[in-house]
Amino acid sequence: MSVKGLHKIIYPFAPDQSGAAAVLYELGGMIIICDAGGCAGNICGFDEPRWLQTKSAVFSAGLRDMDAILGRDDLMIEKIVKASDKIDAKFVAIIGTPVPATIATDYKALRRMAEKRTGMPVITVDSNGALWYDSGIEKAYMECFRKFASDDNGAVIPRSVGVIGVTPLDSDSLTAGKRIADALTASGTERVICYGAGSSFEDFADAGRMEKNIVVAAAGLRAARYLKDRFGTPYECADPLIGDVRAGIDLSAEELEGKRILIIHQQIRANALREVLLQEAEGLIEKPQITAASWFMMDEEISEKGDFRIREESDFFELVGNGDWDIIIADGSFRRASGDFGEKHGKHGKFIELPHFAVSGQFAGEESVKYYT
Amino acid sequence: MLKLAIYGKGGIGKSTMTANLSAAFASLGKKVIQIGCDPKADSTINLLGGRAQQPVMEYIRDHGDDLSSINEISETGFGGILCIETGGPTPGLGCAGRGIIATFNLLEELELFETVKPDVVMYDVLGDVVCGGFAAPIREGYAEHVLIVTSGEKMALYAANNICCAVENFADRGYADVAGIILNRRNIPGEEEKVRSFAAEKGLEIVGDIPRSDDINQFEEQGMTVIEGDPDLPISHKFTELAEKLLELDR
Repeated sequence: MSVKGLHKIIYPFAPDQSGAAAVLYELGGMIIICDAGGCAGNICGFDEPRWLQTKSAVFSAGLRDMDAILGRDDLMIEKIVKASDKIDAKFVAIIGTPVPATIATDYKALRRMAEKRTGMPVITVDSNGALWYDSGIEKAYMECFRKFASDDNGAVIPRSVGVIGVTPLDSDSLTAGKRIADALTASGTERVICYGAGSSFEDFADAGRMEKNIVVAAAGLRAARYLKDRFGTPYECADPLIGDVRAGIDLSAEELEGKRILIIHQQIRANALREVLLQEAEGLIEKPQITAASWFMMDEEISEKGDFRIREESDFFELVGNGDWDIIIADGSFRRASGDFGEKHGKHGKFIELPHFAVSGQFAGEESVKYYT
Repeated sequence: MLKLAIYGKGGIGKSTMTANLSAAFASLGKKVIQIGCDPKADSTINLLGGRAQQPVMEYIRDHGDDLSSINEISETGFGGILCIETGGPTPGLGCAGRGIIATFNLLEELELFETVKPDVVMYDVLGDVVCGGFAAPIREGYAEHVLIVTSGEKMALYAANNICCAVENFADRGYADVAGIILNRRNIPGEEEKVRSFAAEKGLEIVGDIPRSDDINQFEEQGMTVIEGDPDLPISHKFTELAEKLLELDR
């Protein structure tokens, strides 16, 4: 029996509050997880690999039952004010979890009160713990660009690029932001802002001055569209690190011949890998058929016919079990759930790992973990 | 867009005032949305010919919250007024205030205001501000002004005072302000003086003075407002005059 939303075999993925925190982690703000303690623990202990290496002011609001019953928002504001006296924070971010979602905390009111008391800019992200990380990333980017992007910071900077969507939850290493920036600089870009990865909150002010934006994860698309509407900044979807990703995949060009291949990741990485593999297969007589699938947001604009959004475990088993796949490229944590996936069609399918931290975190097999150490 | 929330003691006539005002706004050519924020879900009944519409909470319970259109949870009543009832849980269970907020979130997702483009939005709110959920209609982005319905009765004025205090407490949250009092007369001794004294103490204006009228009851028996029943009655003129006055808040 399939129960909606229940994962019996596949790990639960990083939730939306972790996605929001991942965008904000390096920006120099004070990040308040509006929870009783467990969500902040989950973020710092499991979903944020930078926690052990890079300092960031992440706090739990420490909500208790009487805070919910009495609606003591003012106590949290007091805590924020006290903490802001001791911490050199440039802004405050309040991130939602299931607790405020259940009691319907008014984030707009919290923002007003906190801004008045601290004198700092405050953003709030209404994540609720019931959605996956990509939703939190999307919301956090939107809040940051709405709040911090300036309309009068100056003209468009020649040869400048903004990169949206680089977080450890989607990238293959903690150096992704730097590697992307280095690659863009090497190819003639003079100003690169990797929002949330190697940038500060002040960099968001220049968002309207970028010549173009590159979106590297589907969760960044909404923000890119917002910036296009507000500043006219064009955007493209690309995975600048796809060369490195391809190099880590044990699959020769010859092996692609006539194969049915399923790639499961966040949509832009899955698309980019498909494109690379199809380019490699150009000289082959029988071209491979490659399908991109994701557990996370899939945008119609960048989808191809047959691409698949996985919503439930049963979707996954249906897709993998009945799909006649020769090769599946996905996070190592899906290996067990994939089983002998070609068996039904008389094949012995090949499973190739493509790490996705939001999916397997620290728990995946060594093949995945090695990317994060 | 004029967005008003009607508060007051239970049974004081909030739904009657709200429905008649909505009908008056509609008669003045305005596009109106009326949202009943009460688990009893009877705010819009007299705009719909005496028929109770299905509340949003009941719809979600039966069909889930994956709605594609506002039409699934709204009905069109007298004068083209778009009627919505939040409804609530089974009495004695769940959390009615949270239900109001869930409904508002849903209406936001469905881009209600952007789609319907109303001139006036009326929130008819259950009784007193008893918890955060019942303050939801005056949160930022919803009603901008509160109207308090009261008679000269002691408990009605007590509730009106509670509402004023609640709104004062919300000053730093960017919530709605109190635009005034609607005196819904019960014809108790010294009624006008008592309400005027309260209004003066609170620095509020009595924006509407609605006399006790059997016409209201008579037309409610037929499932309609007095505006719909007979727009030429003196009581109908009272509502129209009040509607015209309230429209000035939006200018």
